[in-house]
Amino acid sequence: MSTVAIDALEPIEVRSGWPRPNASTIAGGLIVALFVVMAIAPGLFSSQSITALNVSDHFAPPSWHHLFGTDEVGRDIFSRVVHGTRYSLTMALSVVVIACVIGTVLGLIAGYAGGWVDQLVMRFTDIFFSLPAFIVAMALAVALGRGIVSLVVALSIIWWPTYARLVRGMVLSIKERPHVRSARALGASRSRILRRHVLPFVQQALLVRATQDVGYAIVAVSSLSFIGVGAQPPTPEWGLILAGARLNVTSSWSYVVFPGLVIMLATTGFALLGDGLGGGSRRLRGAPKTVATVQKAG
Amino acid sequence: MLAYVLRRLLWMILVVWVITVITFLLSHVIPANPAAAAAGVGATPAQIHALAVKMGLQHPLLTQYADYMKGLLFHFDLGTSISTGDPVRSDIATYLPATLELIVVSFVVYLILAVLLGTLAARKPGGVADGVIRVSSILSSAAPVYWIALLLQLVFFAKLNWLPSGGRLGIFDTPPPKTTGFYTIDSLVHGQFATFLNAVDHLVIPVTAIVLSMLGVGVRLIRASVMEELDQAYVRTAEAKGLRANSILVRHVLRNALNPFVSMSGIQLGYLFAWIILVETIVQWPGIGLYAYQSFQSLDYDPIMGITLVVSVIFVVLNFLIDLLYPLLDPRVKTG
Repeated sequence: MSTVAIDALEPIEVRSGWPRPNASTIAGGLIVALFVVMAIAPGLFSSQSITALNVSDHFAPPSWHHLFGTDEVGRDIFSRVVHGTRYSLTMALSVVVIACVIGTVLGLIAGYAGGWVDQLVMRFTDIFFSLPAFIVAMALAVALGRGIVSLVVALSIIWWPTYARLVRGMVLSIKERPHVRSARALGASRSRILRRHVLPFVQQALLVRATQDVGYAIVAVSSLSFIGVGAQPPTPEWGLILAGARLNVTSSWSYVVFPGLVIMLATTGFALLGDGLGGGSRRLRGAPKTVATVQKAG
Repeated sequence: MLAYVLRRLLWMILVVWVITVITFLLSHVIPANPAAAAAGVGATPAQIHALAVKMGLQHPLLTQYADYMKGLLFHFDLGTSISTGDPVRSDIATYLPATLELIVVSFVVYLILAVLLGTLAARKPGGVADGVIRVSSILSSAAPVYWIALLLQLVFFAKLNWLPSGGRLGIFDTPPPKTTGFYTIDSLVHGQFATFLNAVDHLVIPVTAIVLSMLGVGVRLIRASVMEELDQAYVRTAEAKGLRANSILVRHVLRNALNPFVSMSGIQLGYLFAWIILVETIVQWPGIGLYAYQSFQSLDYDPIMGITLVVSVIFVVLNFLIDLLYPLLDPRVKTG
């Protein structure tokens, strides 16, 4: 947030080697695997059409034939949610991957180069931290023309600074380690040092963070679609399904409840997996999760 | 301290300037055809051309930006809404009080609950408050706020019919005379107690949704910092002096424990600003968020950019104020 902010960074623990799989990793891994399969092969879970209209069968309550009931035009909500996984998950993953790549590159450069390059890059990311990200993303998505691609681009643009900060902080501590110093003394090139001697130590923390972020990205993606700046009808994107439910709260409870539960399950899955990979169930122990990730002028 | 204030002020001005650059780029440069975008969906070619001339799109970009800034700084010109036909500036002025009321009430309720539950949890780990923390953290990290609002609407309006589905008052109710723009305050000021209760009824669902989705973070923050402060030497000294536990807690511990909370409130505000748009849409709360939603639906360009600009600037200014407040509350914070 300020010139002091980056100096006040808490030292980031840089570990190597993955922790043993714990309950959190296994539970999260299973949930994530389920959604990945759903995204790749939705036909395994549901053979019903997601677009066929059957107006006479609208707002059918949940049954064996329609697990989640039907919507205002008689489409099977369960099938729409299953087929929607592909959209919501792909968008969320794309946002995190793009943001992660941009952030990592800039963070590596800033952290390793130091000096004015570091100052420039970090002041630039500070500006992003000072903006209300969600609102800027909405305006951006509209300007790019509403749609799935615009949504992904808009969210990636506001998302990368967190990775830049994370990576820079780690690089600062790694670059003074003996193995990096020796590589430098041996005359290894900058790009080689970054790739071979710095990046491997950053990877793990990055992956943990990125995994947790996929959950938040799913919520962000569905929120933007919900207000109409992301996926457009009749795409069965999760937020868009709930946007339909909003207009029918008095007519069908299952329309509101189930798609939301599925979003919760997906985000919880990624959070658990991320926590597990990070070596502990931080969240379950109830420690504040935001303190470590947010630095403040001090 | 003065140098610190000046530095924060300069930073704030820089960020506000960046915001104007962003909204300018988004309205004049990024759309394939900015005039067509701004003219709206049903515009004729002649209208689009006229607007292109009015926006000065034939001029070089720098000239366009200079004109844009002149309009903003001297006339606060945010363009015109196609849907309402009014200047965006006056639309925002109309809708802002409703949003502010929702934000202020939510934040006050959030603050009170976070402090109460956080302190309780710190004193009795594993108790009821810890349970609330657990449920609320799951809700705030995994459930989208708009879904929480929908659920509340489903249960308390559609099923139980205890609460109204949305709006600030019923359709046939007359709002209280405008003094502050806050219905809860205005109704009390003018002695309309029934209207006050009515306004409170309408606030319950949106406020609960917003508070529930923020509470987890707040309670955990307060709990962690109260626990940390309780371990400090000054607490032992106060105990040794024979002060009662409650008095130590309120007069010594909370004073210090609230500091991290204040420093985090800028980030909390960021969430609040995002969620207000989603929640207002669901409960049809006639504020900036609903205005934004309607503008997204009709691709009404000027309001979208106007709202982005105004909300971002409010956000940045609030953060600036928080940055100023922080060292005042905690003299240990170095401002040099």
